[in-house]
Amino acid sequence: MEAGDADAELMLRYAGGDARAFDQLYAMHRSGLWRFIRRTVGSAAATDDVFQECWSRVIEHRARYQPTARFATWLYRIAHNCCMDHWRKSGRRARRETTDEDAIALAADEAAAEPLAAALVGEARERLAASLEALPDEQRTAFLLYVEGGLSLAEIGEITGANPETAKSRLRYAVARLKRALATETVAD
Amino acid sequence: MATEQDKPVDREAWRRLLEKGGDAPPALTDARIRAAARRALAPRARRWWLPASLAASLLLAVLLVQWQYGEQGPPAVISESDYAAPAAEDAASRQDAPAPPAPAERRSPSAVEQPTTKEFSAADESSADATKRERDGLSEITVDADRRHEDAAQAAPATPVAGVTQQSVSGNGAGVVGELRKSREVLPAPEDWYASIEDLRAAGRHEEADRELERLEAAYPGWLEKNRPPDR
Repeated sequence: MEAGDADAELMLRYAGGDARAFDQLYAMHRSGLWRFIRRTVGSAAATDDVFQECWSRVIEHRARYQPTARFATWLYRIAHNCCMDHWRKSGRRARRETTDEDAIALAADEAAAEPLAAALVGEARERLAASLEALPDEQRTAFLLYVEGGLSLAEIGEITGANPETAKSRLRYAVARLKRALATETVAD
Repeated sequence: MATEQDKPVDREAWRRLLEKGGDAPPALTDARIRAAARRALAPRARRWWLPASLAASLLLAVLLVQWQYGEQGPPAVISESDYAAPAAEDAASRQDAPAPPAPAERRSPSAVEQPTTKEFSAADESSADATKRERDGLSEITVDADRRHEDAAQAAPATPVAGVTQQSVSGNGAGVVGELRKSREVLPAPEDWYASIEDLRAAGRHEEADRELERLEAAYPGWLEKNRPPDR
């Protein structure tokens, strides 16, 4: 268990029979996990199903939890797997990742685009949601795991089965795309 | 943990942006998940009920069976020796009618050593046919004997299945088996018996012939007077 990982301690207490520890754990992660799943699977109904399935697995596997990594890493790995299962069941095809040429072009634009401040107002949130939806799956997952899960690039790579450099590239491409989309909308406004 | 090198993006700014709008799970979902978490902990204390109840049911079933067995005793067992003897003796009486009944040692050892419980059923029809044939053969041998002897011989079954059938119908197993054994003592026909006595006389064994004649008279009273040849 990593030093200061209070989440892991709470999970161990819950596995030992302390129901209040679960309540604390749930309160800390419910919103971030919900948004991660909401942005990943899309529909609200599916989000509710996947969210409950994710916590059900946490409850079911509580006895097998080993604090070898941060609790958040374990939790978001379960959530990622639940999302994958949902996609498989629903027959959704994964979007292809951006080609290298596209990514390079987007990364080049990243420095010039600083629309974040403008995006915080008005309908920026909805545009951000739409842009997230339009992202390739790998980039969106990397972005959400980084922002909502608070995971490191190494942890993202571990969950998604990629090395940290690949995870970093996906994250950068995702951010560049989002900034560009928001900037375009802002300019259009 | 994320290092400085791991921070290509301003995480907090993006998070604030995404958090706007109060996107969160509904209260009902929260309640369901918290309830599931508590339920998962609760059954652990009650899990011993399942194996305990199964073990108690099994023990009760075993005790019930043992109690019933002790109350009623073991099921009635009729060994094959009880009903194998008539068949063997009938076969012997067919071969040499005047000879005494077949000895007990002619019984099959396996039949004696292997007690089995027999129950009559429709599937035993072939055995019933054999019973009828055996009975017919017995009637041929004793056709001229006293009517009471003949009736007794016919009434008594010659095969095991018929005997057991009667037992199961009457419910008086010991009595039927006794009748069965008595019926095996079939006397030779008086003509044959008398002919054998004549043979003894012809052979000069007069004392033996006289004894047999007395036995014939005792077995078939009045037969000698009716049927003795006039020249004797």
